[in-house]
Amino acid sequence: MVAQEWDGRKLNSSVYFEPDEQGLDLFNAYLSSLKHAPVRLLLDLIEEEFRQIVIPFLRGPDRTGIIDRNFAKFFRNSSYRYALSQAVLKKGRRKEEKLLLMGLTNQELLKPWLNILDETKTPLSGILSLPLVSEDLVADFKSENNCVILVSQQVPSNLRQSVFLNGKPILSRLVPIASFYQGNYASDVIRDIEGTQRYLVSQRIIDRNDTISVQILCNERHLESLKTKTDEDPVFDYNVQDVNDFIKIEKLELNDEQDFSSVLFCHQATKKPYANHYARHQERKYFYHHLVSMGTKVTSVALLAISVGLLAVFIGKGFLYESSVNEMKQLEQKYKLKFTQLNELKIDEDISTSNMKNVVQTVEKLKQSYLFSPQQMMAMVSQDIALFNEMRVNSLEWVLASSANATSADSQVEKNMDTRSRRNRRSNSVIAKKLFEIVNIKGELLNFDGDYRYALSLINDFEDTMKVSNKYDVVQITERPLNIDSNERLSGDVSNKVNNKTDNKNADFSFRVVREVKLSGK
Amino acid sequence: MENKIDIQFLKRPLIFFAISLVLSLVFIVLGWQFQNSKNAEYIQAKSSLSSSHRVYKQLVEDLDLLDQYKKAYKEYKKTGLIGPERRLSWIETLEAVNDVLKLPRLTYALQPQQEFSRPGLKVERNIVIGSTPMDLTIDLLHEEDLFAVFEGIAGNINNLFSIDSCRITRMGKGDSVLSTKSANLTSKCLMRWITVDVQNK
Repeated sequence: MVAQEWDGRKLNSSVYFEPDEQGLDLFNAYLSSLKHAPVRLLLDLIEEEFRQIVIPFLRGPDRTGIIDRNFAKFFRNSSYRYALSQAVLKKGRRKEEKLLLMGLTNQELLKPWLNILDETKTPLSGILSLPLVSEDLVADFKSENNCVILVSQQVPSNLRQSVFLNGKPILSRLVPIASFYQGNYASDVIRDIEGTQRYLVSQRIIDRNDTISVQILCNERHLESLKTKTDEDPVFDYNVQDVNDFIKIEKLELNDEQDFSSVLFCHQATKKPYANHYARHQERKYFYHHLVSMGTKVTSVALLAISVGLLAVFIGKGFLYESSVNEMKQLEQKYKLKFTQLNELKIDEDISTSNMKNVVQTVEKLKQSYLFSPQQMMAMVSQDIALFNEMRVNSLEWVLASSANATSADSQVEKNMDTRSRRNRRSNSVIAKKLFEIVNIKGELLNFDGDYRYALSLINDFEDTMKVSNKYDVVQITERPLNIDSNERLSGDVSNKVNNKTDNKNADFSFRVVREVKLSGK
Repeated sequence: MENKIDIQFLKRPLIFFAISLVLSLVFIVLGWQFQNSKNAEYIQAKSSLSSSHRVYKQLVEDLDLLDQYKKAYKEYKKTGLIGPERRLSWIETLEAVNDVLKLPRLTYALQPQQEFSRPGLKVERNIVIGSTPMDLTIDLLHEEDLFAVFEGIAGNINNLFSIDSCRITRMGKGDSVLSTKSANLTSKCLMRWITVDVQNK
């Protein structure tokens, strides 16, 4: 077991633990020192098998059922297994799915290590398969051939050969190799590669004539011998690279030169969040706890950040308000100062300006519409009477009243009158909407000789003339020289006429005219 | 391996969360209260400023009105149109008028002051219009003398008056020729001296 701690491209530490009691204890202590930092387990085991199968294209429980049956068939005794969908094949109308099934054939190997992970409550994000992780490395080789064999060595005793077809892993083998330190290492490697080729041909994965690209990662010590050996071979397209050169290309920061390529794959496993291949739910328990813990921490920090942000906003707003308050207070002071200055300009302190305005407006209103004189009405009536020479006016009365039938001017409320009487009187004047000029005239006909017919005719002519003039609203003859109304009593003395005496004959008349006053200034 | 929730594992983050929650609430509540208190001060200052502005604006408007009405008001007050009634001035005016017209008779009778009302006349509540009825008895040589009296009064005093009623009656009977030395007509008129006053309340 190698435990590596990566910080981006930098390897902070690499610790090796033997699979014995002491090694397990050390591993326990090491994990405890990590204080629940999440880890990934990258497997490079001999006891890992790969099977490529084709199943009908299905989804949901049907697919799961088929996969489970295949798992039971190939990995009956293992609960560490994984199915990777690699392609959807079309055969006419039928669709099929190509799957790579893989599983551990000896799961007991993992048990002591996983127990320590559980004991130390180390969050295990996943158990990854090294051949699947190396898929991304193969793309970096940019091989022209469809089939690529990646040959690498993570430990001295085993050689890993991973086969990729069209960039997809189809097979991986970990074979023991004893000649790492002594013997003909290059020949052994080539022999194993040829064995793999034969297997691929026998399984009809590739054709016998297909060229296979072989990418070998080795240390500097074996580089020359491998290059010499591979140059002699015309069948394969070899590319032998020093693992330390490849590490430089990948820009990994390591302190020591590497004999093995484990750092490459371990770094590859940390580069992106790979899907978990083998870890079961209960083994990832503390990873879920870790996620919850991280979520809680992120939420807490977010809460604090939001609350601090809101606090800043509130405080900012508060200070803005305070600044506005100060500005407004200064402005208010200016207003007050100006107010004091302007207030001194007001000279009449015994009356408010609005009252002054009301008083002046009231006076103007009175002048405009509510001051009356009989002159105009009297002149008008006099002109009409002047048309009739025989008529003489003895008395003329002009009255201003709110009723057209009034006989005297409207009375007004005395200032010291009791409230009830005042209210009654005032309400009457408020109800009245119109104002009338009323003229009552009494007169007689001059040089009257007793001819009542003529007198009555004259009065009728006068009445008609006044009515036709349209200057008055009402023209009413209240007394005629002789009252010949059917409803009235009539008496007289006709003896004078026989005696031809006319001295005592009178032809009195009286009439009344009314005109509505136009109140324009309401 | 059990699959239960390990509270011990989550203890620290949960405590951190609880503290964060409490702190957040405290921050928000304190901040909110601070902002509210400042907002209340702002609203109060705004209201106060608005009030000051209103008073100031009113004063400016008052000053405009003052300029507009001051002259007329002072004139009215000086002539006695505004303020208490000025009976003595009225009588002196009548005397002055008759000094010119030299009418054979011009008598007057002032009655107690009354309120003045006319249909449609509406004034502000604190404005009081008073009217003092004056019965005038005037002997006239000619009816035009009556109007000469009113015109004379108007010319001698800058007060408001209105005539409510007037009766002109011919003196003597049957004479069609008017005398040039004695009164031919007599008139009785009711006129009202109008005063305007304001109750400063």
